[in-house]
This record gives sequence, C-alpha cells and structure tokens, in this order.
Amino acid sequence: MMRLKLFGRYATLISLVVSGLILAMGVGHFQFARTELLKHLHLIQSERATNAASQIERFVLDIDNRLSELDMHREGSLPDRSWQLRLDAIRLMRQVPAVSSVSWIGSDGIERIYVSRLELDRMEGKRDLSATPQFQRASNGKPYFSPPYFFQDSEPYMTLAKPAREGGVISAEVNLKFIWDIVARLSSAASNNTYVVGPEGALLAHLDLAAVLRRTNVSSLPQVAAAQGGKDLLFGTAFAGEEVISAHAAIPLLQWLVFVESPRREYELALNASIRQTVGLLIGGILIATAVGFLLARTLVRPLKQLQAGAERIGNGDFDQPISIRTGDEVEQLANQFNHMTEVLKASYTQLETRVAERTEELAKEKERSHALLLTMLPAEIAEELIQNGRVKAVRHEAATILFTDFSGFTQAASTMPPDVMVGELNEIFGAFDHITEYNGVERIKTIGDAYMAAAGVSGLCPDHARRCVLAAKEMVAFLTERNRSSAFKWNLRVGIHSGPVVAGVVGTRKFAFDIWGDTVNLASRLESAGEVGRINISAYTYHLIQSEFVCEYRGKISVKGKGDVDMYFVSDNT
Amino acid sequence: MGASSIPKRKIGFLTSALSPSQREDDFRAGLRELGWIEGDNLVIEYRRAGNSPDRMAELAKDLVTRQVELIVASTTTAVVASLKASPTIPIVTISADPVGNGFAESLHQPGGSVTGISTMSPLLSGKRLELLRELRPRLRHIAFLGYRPDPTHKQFIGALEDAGRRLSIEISPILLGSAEDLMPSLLRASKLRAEAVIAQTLLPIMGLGQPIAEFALQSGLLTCSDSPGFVAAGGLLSYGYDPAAADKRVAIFVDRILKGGHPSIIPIEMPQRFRLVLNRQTAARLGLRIPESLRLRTDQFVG
Repeated sequence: MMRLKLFGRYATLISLVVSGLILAMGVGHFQFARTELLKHLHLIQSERATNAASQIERFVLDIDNRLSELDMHREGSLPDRSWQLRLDAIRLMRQVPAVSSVSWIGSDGIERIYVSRLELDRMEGKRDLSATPQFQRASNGKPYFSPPYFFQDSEPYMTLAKPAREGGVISAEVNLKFIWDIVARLSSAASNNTYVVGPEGALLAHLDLAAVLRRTNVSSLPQVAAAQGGKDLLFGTAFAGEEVISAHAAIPLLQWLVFVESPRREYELALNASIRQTVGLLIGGILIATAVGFLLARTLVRPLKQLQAGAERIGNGDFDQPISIRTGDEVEQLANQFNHMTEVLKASYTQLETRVAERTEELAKEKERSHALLLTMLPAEIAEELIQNGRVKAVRHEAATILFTDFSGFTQAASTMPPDVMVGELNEIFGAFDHITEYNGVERIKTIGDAYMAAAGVSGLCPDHARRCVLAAKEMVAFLTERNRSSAFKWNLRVGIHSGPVVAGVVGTRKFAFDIWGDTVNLASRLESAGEVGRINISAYTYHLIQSEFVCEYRGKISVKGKGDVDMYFVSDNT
Repeated sequence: MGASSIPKRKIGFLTSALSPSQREDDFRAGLRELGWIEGDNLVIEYRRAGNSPDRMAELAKDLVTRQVELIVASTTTAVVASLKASPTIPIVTISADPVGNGFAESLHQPGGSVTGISTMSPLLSGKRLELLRELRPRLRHIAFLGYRPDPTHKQFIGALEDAGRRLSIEISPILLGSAEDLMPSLLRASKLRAEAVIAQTLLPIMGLGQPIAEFALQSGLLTCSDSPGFVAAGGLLSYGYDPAAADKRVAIFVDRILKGGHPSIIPIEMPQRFRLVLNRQTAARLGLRIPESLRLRTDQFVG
C-alpha cells in the first residue's frame, strides 16, 4: 500500500513536471510560431514588394534611357536631323510596345516632331506646348514623370519627358497597361497578388486588368490609406473584402506604391497546420512524459520494494538471502548496510542457539545427577513419584518385611578405634550391605549408628518381600564372616527380620528421607536385639512366609519388651 | 476531369464569317487556357451568317431560343442582331466601336449587356491614310468601302474625313448594302479616279477581301484595311488590332461571365498592340517603293 502510494506520487509528479514543461514549451512555440510566421510572411512579402517596385521602376527607367539614346548621334541640318529623329522614334516604338507616342518639343516650346501609333504623325511645328508640365519641368533640365492619366477614360498612361541634347524636350507617352505583364509574372510566380497604386490612389496595374480599366480608386482600402500616410498596415482588405496580409514598397521617383498581398486565410491555414503539429507534438510529448514518469517511478520504487521484501524475509527469520540491489546509489548503500546488519544478526543468533543447546545439555545432566542422587536416597518408585509430583503420598503396606542389623559390642570396639578407621570400617561394611540389598531388591531405609535398616514390599509390588530380606540377610552374614577372616577388626553381626504392615512415606522438605513406621518396625528391631551373633533371627510372621524355601529352627517364645512372648526362629545356616 | 458528370455550359458564337476559320481556333485555345474545354464542360453553338443581315437576325434569335448563356458576337452586325434578339443576354464582342455604336456607355463602365474588345478600328482610319500616303506621297483621293448594315461605317467615314482634311486627301465613301454591291462599288471607286481603297473591317471578314484585292491590283489601286487576312489575300497593307490575340483574349470575358460576372461592369478592353502588315509583292506590282519610315513600322511582311 505504501509503495503504491510512493509509486503513484512519483509517477504523477514526474509526469506533471515534464508535461508542464512540454506544455509551456508548446504554448511558447505556438506564440513564437504565430508571431514569427507572420513576421516571416510579411518580410517575404515586403521583399517581393521591393522587388516588384524595382522591376516596375526599371520598366519606366528603361524607357527613360531609350529616350536618352534617341537623342544621340544625329548630324546634318535641322530638317535632316528631324527626319532622322522621327525614324529613331519609330524604331523605338517598334522596340518598346508600351510607348505609344514620342515627341520632340523645341526649346521654344513648339512641337517639332510627333510620332504616334494611334494618331497622325505631326512634323509641322505648329503646336505650342510651352505651357505643358512636361516641357516646363524637362526644359529646366529635370526629367519629368507625369501623374498617370486615363486614355479614353480607361487605359492608364503616363508621360515621360527629359531635356533634349540640342535644346528642348523629348517626351513619350507610355501605356501602363504593359506593367500588367510584370505584375502577372510576379503574381503567378509567388501566388500572391501584386498591384500598383498611383499618387491619388488610382489603380495602375493589377492582375485583374478589369479593375484597372474600371478606374478603381483604392484609397479606401485601409492598407493603401495607411501606406499613403507613410505607415505600414499588416492586415488589409482586398477589393473583394477578403482579409489579406499586405506589404508595400514605394517608387519615390513616380510616387507610386507597389503592394504585395496574400490572403490572410492562407496564413491562418499555415498557422493552423503549425498549431495542429504543435498539438500533436504536445500530446505525444505528454504521453511520453507519462510513460517516462511511470518508468522512472518504477525504477525508483523497485529497489525500495526489494528492500522491503528483504526486510520481510529477515523478519521471518530467513537470514540466508541477502538483498541484491545494484542501483549504485543511496538505496544500494542502504541495502548493503541492511545485508551487513543481517549477517551480524545471523551470527549472534547462531551463537545464542549454541549457548542454549549447551545450557540445555547442562541442565539435563544436572537433572540426571539429582535424579541419581535421589535414587540413592529413595526407592526407585518413590523417587519417581517425588520427581513426578514433588511429593510422596504416605502409603500403608499390608505386607512388608523389615530387616535390622547391628554389631554386638560396637560401642566398646569403637571407643578403641581412631574415628576415621571406625567410619572407614562402617563405610566399607554398609557399602557392601547396600550392594547386597540392591542386588536382592531390598530397600535400604537408613543407618542409625551401627544399625542398618532395610525393608522389602514398601515400594511397588513385591509379593516375595520376606524371601528377599532373608536372602539379603544371609549374604550379609556371609560377607561379614568372610571379611572377619582377613580383616583386622572382627565384627559380630546380629540380624532380625519381621514381616507385617507398615506405613511408608517421605519426610523432610530439603533433605528427603524415606522412612517406614509402625509396630512391625519396632518388633523387627526387637528381633535383632534378641538375636545371636552371626544368626538371622526371624518372627513367626516371616517364618510362615519363607518356610517353604528356608529351613529354620524354632527358638521358642522369647519375651520382648512391650510385646510379651514372641515366637522366634533362626534361619538355618546351610540352606 | 470527369467530363460526363459535370453539367456543360452552353454559349453561342455568332459571326459574319462564312465558314470556320483560324479565328475560332484561337478563341477555343483561349477558352482552353481558362479551363473551358469544348465538348467537355462547354458547348459552343456556332452560327455563321455570312453577308446576309436577315440571316444574322434569324441565327441570333435561334441562339436565344436555344437558351445560350451568352453570345460571342464577333462583329458589329452580330452584336446588333443579338441585341435585337435579346436585350439581356450577355454579349461578348470583338468589334470596331461598341461605345460609338451605343452598345456600351463607356469603355470602363459598359453599363449594358455588351462587353468585350473594342478594336479601335475607326480611330486608326487616319493612321491608315497616313500610311498609304507614305507609300504614295502624292496621294490625293481615296475611296472608302463601307458596309451599310454595320453602323460603324459612320465613325470610319468621320475619322477619315477628319484626317483627309489635315492631309489634303479627298475621301469618297462608297457604301455596300450587301456583298452583291461589291463590284459596282469598286467600279465606282475606279470611275471616281480614287488612287486607293480603304475597306471597312467587316468586308474581309465577310470574305470580300480577295475580290477587292484582285480588282485593286488590276486597277492599280492601293488597298488598306485593318485585317491581316486581307493582306494575306493580296491586299497591300493592314493596320489594326491583332485578331489572333483578340480572339484569344476575348475568352477571358466569356470566362468572367460564365463565372457570374455581369457585362455591365466588365470594362471593355482596347487591343494591347496594333500591327502593321505589308504585302511586299503587291507593293512591287503596284510599283511602290517602301520608305524606311514604313519599313520600320511594319510588324510583318507578306510575300
């Protein structure tokens, strides 16, 4: 969930930033395209207008030059020269179709020669043209370019005049309809409209010749009005009312203006194409930006995801798979630190495990040892019960046999013995007794001084308790007899055995002691005391239990303190 | 272009010629340049009246009943007949003086149903006289052969008489009522001791150029017209508009009108150029020396 959030945030952020940039660039480009396209178009048109103006000016200046040439290389008398001039004029008119007439006005202002395409030629020198502007201007030494005028109220004409070499003025009438050729060529080549406007706003040349012949005045067109006022108007109107992008150039010599116009619609179309292109690019750019945003976000988030997965593995206790991130940046460093941490964690974990295993083993050993110790102190079943329950229930056993031994004359002997020797002797003898009782399945209960007390049938099921005790007693006697033969001290052992009900239990909280209580125990002790050295003194109860196996000799009723007379038997030695 | 699917436009072509000529080819070439292709998107009904005014009127009426969108009336008589047949059907003409004949108010603002090209032929009458005098400087008397059904003869005569006064040349106008009057008229000119004959534009168009030229040559008469065709047929010289250029140019007016333009506001154009055509052979047979001033002005020599 978190990583999705992060991814989304990154992706959106990157996409938005890049898209925003692209959008800003797109809008900028559009603005730029609009102004630049317009500027560019206008510049091109201005250049075309300048070019057209220079071509049209050249058309007029060419005729002007021809008039100058006309004026040269003539000789002879005046009539001859006049005749020659006439021929030259005819030649010029043949070469330049736009020239419709040529005349020479003498320095007195009288027309000398007039050669025309339409009218009769004149060479009579009768006309006084001294008041005409062409004569007045040109005779002052300045070339004259008349304002345009309209032949038959329709065709545009102008008059050129210049001072003649031998005085007077040479002038020509020019049919401006011939400019149409130039305008048509320029208009068709550039697919935009070129037209020429005279000083008063009269249309002099236009691709649509009819507009010229109709004597259209274009002063009302905003771009023409602006140009006449010396200003430049970018957007104008064509005759048909269509909006146009307009540029113009002036021909100062003639006070004409040359306009070059293209429909604004075409510019709008070009602009729209540019806008469409820009929008297409924008959409493409934004799509790419979004894709890049997602990719980048994924690139950024993927190592984090790997890091997270690694952390999860470690959380689950899997230390064996290191996190593998190769981004070469902070995330990789983080992953490496993570891996290092994992290793340290893994090492300490292993150490902990070993230590726990050691402790467990120690504990087990300890337990075993205490168990063994307990076993030495308690009968196996009792010890088991104690371990299991923490306590032992006192139990009354209806049929048990108690064995007592004692050393006759112990006190006397002990007093002559160094203590360590005495204890060593007792330890050796009782150790042997322990082996014997254990061997015969008899429980050693305790030792009291030189007395040794054992019992059978006080733990677990044991139907032959009496027999076991008798066998143990016999071995004890045999052991001591054998020992006395070689040892320095001779011990006189008495053994008493009695069978009957006892209560068995464990007493003590810290030091456990298994013990038995009851009259049977007392009587067993009395039997021992009433016995003889080296003999096994048993009660009648015990006798009845073992008589089938052991040969016994009846000793008769013997008085026992607190019990009266008790039947006693000696277990015969050789059985 | 999918020729069959586009509805064809229909125009009439009314002329004083007797048979199809180069001039019709030039006209069709002009139309083709503007995208009008006969048989494809344009139907042209040709009506050739020859020298009969009655037949001209009949054919004009026929074109009107056939509901042509406009009539190309290549001569003044064709314009007269067309106007009589319908005062509203647009008429495109190549004729001598549409303004002078009252077909249009002015060149720049025709104001009626007639527009086209004014050949300016009457205006050049003086010039023709001048050119003839260049060939024969002592020229004193000429005859003008006019065609009565064509009202332009008045302008011709007026212009000639004006020039004649200035050049001290006597003008004898002789008017033909029809082509049948040609021989008597020529005989009459000869009888009047005219030294030259100037023929009205229409006569060569009507096919009378050759007989005039032949008669003139036999009688030692100088001849002049404004039709290069007349010179080709043996006439001495012609000065006037270039029919080939005009026939091509007139297609523009047809185009304008077919595209919805109205003749009343389509200015009548004047010819861009005037051409001088001279038959050297005829000149030689007449024993004429061609002066340099004329030679320089000549655009084309025939023979």
